[in-house]
Formats: sequence, structure tokens, C-alpha cells
Amino acid sequence: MDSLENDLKSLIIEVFSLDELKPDDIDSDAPLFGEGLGLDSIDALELGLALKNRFDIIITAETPEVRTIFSSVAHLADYIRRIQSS
Amino acid sequence: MASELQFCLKQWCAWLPPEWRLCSYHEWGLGRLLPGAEPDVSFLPLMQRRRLSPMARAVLAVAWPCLKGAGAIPTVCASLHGETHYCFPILNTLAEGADVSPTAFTLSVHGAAGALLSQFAGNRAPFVALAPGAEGYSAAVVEARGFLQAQAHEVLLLLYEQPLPLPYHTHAANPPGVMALAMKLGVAKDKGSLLQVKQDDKGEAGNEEDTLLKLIWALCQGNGAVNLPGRKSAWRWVLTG
Repeated sequence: MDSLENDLKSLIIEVFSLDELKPDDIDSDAPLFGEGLGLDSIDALELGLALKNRFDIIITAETPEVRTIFSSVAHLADYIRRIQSS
Repeated sequence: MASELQFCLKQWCAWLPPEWRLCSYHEWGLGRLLPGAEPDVSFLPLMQRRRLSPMARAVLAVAWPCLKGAGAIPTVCASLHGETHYCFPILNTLAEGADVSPTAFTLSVHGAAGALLSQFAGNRAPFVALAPGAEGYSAAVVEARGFLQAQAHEVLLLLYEQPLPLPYHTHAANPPGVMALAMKLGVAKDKGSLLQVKQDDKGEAGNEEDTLLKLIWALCQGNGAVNLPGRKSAWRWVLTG
């Protein structure tokens, strides 16, 4: 598995107290919010804070394409790679 | 002038840590002390129970049986100190100049457990969350009486506490463990046990230490009465039938 995607899945499990899940239980391409994993609007704020603390990347409601970035682990990993390489 | 409020106690359910379950008989009337090392909230989906604090887990565990089949029922939540284990770390975070966790903030409000209960149970009836202060839990029964007076058929009374963060221990009575009590109350003429809450002119006022523990023990053992001192008045809770 992509190591960044795996790190993100571990972060999601830790931040959202999903202790009963393992990283492999989260589908990289499945929606994080609503259908799929089932995160909600408070989780979106919490995920933004966690990404700032872990990767020093700031994602807010004003960030272009924020809905796409937060749509799945795979999209989130792509965005982090682009920011880190730019 | 001394006050007395009367209710029908239709059902109760309580949670105490195992080390505080001193009574061997765990049922009196229509109630029970829940077993287990931790409150069981497995009836909730993972995505709902993941955010529950240990105290909120106890609240949901005791309230759920009382809500079963009850329909929309007004709820009175009362906790002397509430979710201090969320509030205090937030204060430390702010003092450090760091960002506050949005999740911790939403769960730090005094009525968080009651709000989650309403949401998860789909109970759209009103609820109030009290920090009952000087007169202790007797203030909560006044609120419960208010709902019944306003024509509610039943009211759910939820009392809950947890140990305080260490820095508060020299400032307030520290509850000895996570504990929660749910009581479904109706008007006194309904079928069930009679609960009388009386302001006791002859009793001694005191602090709130262990009052919820004493009340749960009384329910477990079916005692006739328990004295629950407020800081200004003494209150006597009498169970009959």
C-alpha cells in the first residue's frame, strides 16, 4: 500500500477514535464523508487541524477544490504530494 | 416554607464502576444497576459511539432502556461539573496558544451528553441541561416537575458525574468515579413507585460530595429514604412501593 495513504488512514483512525478499524479497512478510493466512511462536518474541521499539525499543510473551506481534496484518502494523498513537491 | 414534590418513578437504570457496587441486590422496583466493567453502548453504530466520553457512554447506557418505547419524552440532564475532561484540556490548549480541537469543543458543552442522546435516539422533545449548583439534584427535579406541569406525560431525569481533573480537587468535591442515573418520572397518580423529594427543615445542609452515589445505592437497596444535602438546604428523597 502507498505509505502516505497508509499514514493518512492511521491518522484518520487515531483522530476520529475509530479504534475498531485497521488501515486496511479504509478504502483509499471510498468517500470519506457522507456515504463511505461516514465522517461529518465536525470531522472535516478536525481533519484540517490534524493535517496542519502532522504535515504543516493548511486546508480550509476557502482552499480551491477542497471538496475534491477531502473526497477520499487517495485524493488527499495526491494533494499532499503536490504541495510537498512544489 | 418547606417544599415537597411527588412523582411516580416508572423506571430507573444506573451505572457505577464495579468497585462502587457495594450492594448485592441490584434491582428495586422497575430498575437495575447495569453490569460490566465498562458501560455497554454497543447498541450504537461505531460512528456514533466513537465520540462518547466515558461519562457520556454511561449516560447513553442508562438512558437507552428508559427511552425504549417511550416515544418523544422531555429530558432533564443534571451534572454538577459536566464534561470537565474536555473543558480543562481546552483551557490548557488556549493557554499554550495552540488550536482547539473542534471535536473537543463540541463535546465540552454542559449538555453534550444529553444532546447526543436526543440525536441518536431521535427524541425531538425538549431537553434542558443543568449545573444544579447550591441545591444539588433537587433543582433538577423542580425542572422535571415543570415539564409534567406543562402536560408532559413523562419526563426523563438524567444525573451524571465523573472525577474532576486534578487541579480542581482542592476547589470542589470530587466524584469518586464515572456514574450515571436515569429515572423515568410521571405524575404521582400514575402506576409505579412513589418518589417524594422533600425540603427537610430539620436536616443539615452540606456539600454535594457523593450525593449521586448515595442516591444510586438507595435505589439499588430499595431503601425508604436518602438525605441529599444541598449547600443551603437539606433534601430528603423518599421511595415507596
